[in-house]
Amino acid sequence: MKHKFTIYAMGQDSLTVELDGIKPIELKCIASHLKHFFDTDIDVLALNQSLTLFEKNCATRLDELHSFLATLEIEEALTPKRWELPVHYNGHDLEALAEKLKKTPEDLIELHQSHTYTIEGFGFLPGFFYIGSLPKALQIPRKSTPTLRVPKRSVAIAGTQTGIYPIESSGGWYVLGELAFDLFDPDVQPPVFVDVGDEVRFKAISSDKFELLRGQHLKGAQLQERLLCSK
Amino acid sequence: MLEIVRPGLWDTLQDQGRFGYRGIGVPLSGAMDQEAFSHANRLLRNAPDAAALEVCQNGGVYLFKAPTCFVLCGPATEAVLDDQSIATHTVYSAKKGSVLSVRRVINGVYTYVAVKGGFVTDQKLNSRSMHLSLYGIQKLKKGDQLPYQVYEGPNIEADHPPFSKGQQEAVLQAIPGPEFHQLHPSTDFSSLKFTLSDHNRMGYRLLPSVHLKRSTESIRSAAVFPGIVQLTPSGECIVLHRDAQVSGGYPRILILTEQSLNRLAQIKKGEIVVIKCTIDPSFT
Repeated sequence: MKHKFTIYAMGQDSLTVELDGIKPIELKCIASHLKHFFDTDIDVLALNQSLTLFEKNCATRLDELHSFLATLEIEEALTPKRWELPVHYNGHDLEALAEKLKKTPEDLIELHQSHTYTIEGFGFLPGFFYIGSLPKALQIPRKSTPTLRVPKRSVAIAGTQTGIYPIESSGGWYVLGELAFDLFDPDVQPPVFVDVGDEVRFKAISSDKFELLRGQHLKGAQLQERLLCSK
Repeated sequence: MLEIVRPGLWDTLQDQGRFGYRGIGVPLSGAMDQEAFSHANRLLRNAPDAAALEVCQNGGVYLFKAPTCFVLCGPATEAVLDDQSIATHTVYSAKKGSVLSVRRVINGVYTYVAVKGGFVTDQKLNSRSMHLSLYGIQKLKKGDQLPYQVYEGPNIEADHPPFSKGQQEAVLQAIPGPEFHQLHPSTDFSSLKFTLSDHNRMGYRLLPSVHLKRSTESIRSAAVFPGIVQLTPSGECIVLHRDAQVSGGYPRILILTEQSLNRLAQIKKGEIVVIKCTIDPSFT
């Protein structure tokens, strides 16, 4: 593999592979190779240019995994999926954030929806994923005091990333709006269908359109089909 | 059904936990004291993953709406079945209409109420462990019903020795975590003393008796799991427990053993905790 990497164990049942300068789509590709290596549908968390895998006694195979990854060739032409996510930009931080960034709310929305982003990793909450990278003009440190109740489906930004709150939670990100669909559903398989390396576009919609989409109650395969873009 | 007539302080349904979904950010969850939980299922000859009611400190009042056998497992617990005091680690028969009152856990925190066959609530992602993100509730409330299979067979003879927590001194065993080197070399990690200041199902806040010096203050957000000991910028340690998030941004200085994680679950606020760290990574 052309990327430099290190592997470390935490206890007997987890191994972390850190890969400098790796692209999210390559991370996804390596994660699928790990499943082959362990010959099982292993639980792998992709986060910040690293993969952490959880499997009973996997730490005993650290050296073996090292040799496996050293000789691994990652496919060159990987085509990511692209999702278009309809957002009603009416978030409770929109006005205040626009003021902070010295923009009108309309400019802020236009800036946010005119970029193509990439899913960089998972973490924080069940079904929460990190979407990067925000254009420089939208980058802002997270709030110094977190908001106690950030509503479910909130589309929020902080640092270089956008996130979508799968459940109500406290959180320090600035809420721009609400997604029209739930991307985390523990009652369908898979509970989350987007993956690391996938591309994301946000699309501003009116409150009428938002209500219409909410009323469709799309889930699972139907929802995937609705959000998947043909590029 | 077991009806929650009056909920305890923090009643939840738990099993061994939810495996295979950390890649999408879903916590492990599961019984805080897996040892006590497992023992309850062994005594009832249940499957090891049969779900049990987890009671925290002060339990509630529960109505059996069908006959079954049940057991209370954990530290010494004051409990009453139809006005008769009952002991822990002993299997009892409950009739339709029997009322169990779990008053308080005496020398620990978590006790398990298990029934024959386990509680058979709807599974979410292959587990019955309650978590806010999956069930929309944090704990059981008055009127909630926990379904179980009717059992009218003979009372089950205990064929396992009584459960013992062994030594009472709270000495926890740990191995170095990935950011262990961030602790100052002068730290005597062979025996670190803490006071437990606060806890919930996600984590335990430990105040060290001496200031823990460290080199840097935070890391990039990285994978964590129950047992990881994080060092916060203010010098406190947070031991992550069963409901911990899958990622965190504080240095991961130590990792508690599974056995120590169970032991920690039974330590009360204000008590002293000693963590002994061995360098040998093959220790676990």
